[in-house]
Amino acid sequence: MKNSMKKTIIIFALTAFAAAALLVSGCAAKQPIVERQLAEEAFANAIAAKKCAWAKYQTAEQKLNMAHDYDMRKEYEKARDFYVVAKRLSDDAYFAAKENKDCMDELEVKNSESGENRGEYQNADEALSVLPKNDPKREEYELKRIHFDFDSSEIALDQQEILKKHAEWLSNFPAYKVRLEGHADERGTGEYNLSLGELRCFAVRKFLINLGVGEDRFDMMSYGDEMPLVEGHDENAWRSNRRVEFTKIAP
Amino acid sequence: MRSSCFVFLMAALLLLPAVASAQLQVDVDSAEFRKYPIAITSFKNIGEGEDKWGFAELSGNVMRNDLGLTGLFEVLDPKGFLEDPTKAGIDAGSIDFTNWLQVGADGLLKGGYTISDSEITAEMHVFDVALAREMLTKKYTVQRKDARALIHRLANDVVEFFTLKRSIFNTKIVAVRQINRVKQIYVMDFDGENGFVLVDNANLNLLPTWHPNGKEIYFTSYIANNPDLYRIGLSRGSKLMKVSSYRGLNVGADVSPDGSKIALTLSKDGNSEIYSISTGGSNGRRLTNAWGIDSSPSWAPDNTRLAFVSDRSGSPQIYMLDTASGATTRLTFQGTYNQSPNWSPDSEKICFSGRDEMMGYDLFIVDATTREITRLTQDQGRNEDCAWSPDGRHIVFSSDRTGEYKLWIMTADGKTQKQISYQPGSFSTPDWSPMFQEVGDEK
Repeated sequence: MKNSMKKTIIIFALTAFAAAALLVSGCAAKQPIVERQLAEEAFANAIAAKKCAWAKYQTAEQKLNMAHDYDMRKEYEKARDFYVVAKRLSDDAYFAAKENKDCMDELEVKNSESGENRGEYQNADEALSVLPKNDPKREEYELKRIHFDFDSSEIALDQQEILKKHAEWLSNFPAYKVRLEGHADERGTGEYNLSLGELRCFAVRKFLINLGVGEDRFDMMSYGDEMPLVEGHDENAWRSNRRVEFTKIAP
Repeated sequence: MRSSCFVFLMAALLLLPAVASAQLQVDVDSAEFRKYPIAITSFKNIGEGEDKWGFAELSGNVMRNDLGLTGLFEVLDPKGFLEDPTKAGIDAGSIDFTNWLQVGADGLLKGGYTISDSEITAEMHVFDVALAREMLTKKYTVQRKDARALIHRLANDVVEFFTLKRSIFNTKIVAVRQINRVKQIYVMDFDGENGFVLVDNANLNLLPTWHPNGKEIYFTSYIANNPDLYRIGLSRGSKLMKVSSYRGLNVGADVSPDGSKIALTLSKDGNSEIYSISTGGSNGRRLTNAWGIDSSPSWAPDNTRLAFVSDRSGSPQIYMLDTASGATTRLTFQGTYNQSPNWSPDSEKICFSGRDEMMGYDLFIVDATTREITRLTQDQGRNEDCAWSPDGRHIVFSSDRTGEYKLWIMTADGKTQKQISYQPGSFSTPDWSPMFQEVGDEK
């Protein structure tokens, strides 16, 4: 979810093509679907390594394009081979960049799930005018996510404090809207967790409306347990994953 | 003769209390159910055509797997067979039944086939070993590509012979397959074979369910940036149709057994509520109205009642709703995390995903009439998302007991469990198709 827009667009464009071909041909059994997915995922990771491992990145991109061409032409054997090569080159690029200390920071940021790179629509001046001068979060320019207890959409007192700041920001920037994204931890069925994520969005919305934020300022989407912030199967991971995220939507 | 009194088929007795098969002798005085020991040999090529496709081996493997899955048969290991397959024939006159008595078989299944580039004709003979008598004979001709489906049909004949009801061997399962963060809609035979990707749009596709016509799948996709309900046909080139796209959730659809309407969860009112809509998406009617979550509807065979989840009591529990009267009944009182009910196609049984006091995530059945709870899984990883087979004797579910979520099927008592999906990726939220038309012309 928190990948850059570019990554999303690339994955979407590339796989939509292949998916369309798949649906039309119906030749699911022969198509290198797994290889394609793996190659695209690896390539998406490698985008962050573009600057530091340019040659490898470029070759990976080239091979992936060739794989897609073969895939579309239903030359699945060749497509499979090129997907495998594209994946290996993408991985190489990623790890090469990781070796390089200067590049590592960039990779960390790009691949971070912590939300620091979510400010695609925001304007640094606006964010800075909201945050107090001594706030260490100043450089993040973001609306902080809040967390929930297990199977609960109640907003704990410490989390309410965070929402009060969000309400303040929304009142300072009346042209902006905010997108709420509700999430649940992995426990329980995915079906129930979709409703739980939605309930958390509604709870946040209600709380902010009570603080004076207009009803038309919200967009909401529940992802249930589909988009964990942290991979893991312990209380720490679960706590991190039970959350509502906020994205500013520019006018 | 003692051995001809099958202490057999508790399931048959339970399902068909008043019916007695002409062929089947059931020892009703016995309190103990015993699986019926059956020896299954690979079919024998009795024609002129050379078998270049390995039908002999396929026939034995598929038949043994099918009958083993039912939980009704003890399928004997062919390694222990005493008979010389090159000498023995497939009719009663050419079989030395003492060979089969010695390996402990009550029943013996044999077959023969003729094969060509285009067709297979196969005949099956099932014998009572103790009586040295043929009990069941079937013969079909199919196109060669339908070889596997042919064995499934014969296996269905065997189960029908013993229980008066055909089994699941001609059904499919739809599920979600996840690879990285993409979720596809994936269809496979009930035994995991012939799998294919039905929907892959590099996005999240969730909670697929069959239309009872067996030709369409309904599912939720985020492809238009909202969890909307879609429909797609199984046939090649079928177009994706949007069915319900209210703002917020359009999830957890279940088509009624008569195919007339869909129950689903919508969140357009401010929280999750259950609605009934037409299969085209119109005529929305709200069925629940409570604080918090109402979700996961599943139709009863009567097309009127629904099982669903509500957390109106403070934790998610299974409820039943009579959509005609509006009467709501709580069914589960044990545990604090009961979800995703699925109503049996032919009884009052509802399976659901629960969490026990030891924090185990397991599957249970609640009886809609007696509210009696039966546990199906325990100490085998996490198990969730159960769905009944069309014959009401099996349940498909997802389990992470191998380290990754895969599909498993089990008998409705939980005793016989078997993994069916081995494809790469993790699998979840399966739904079982209706019975399909069977292949072949009977001879």
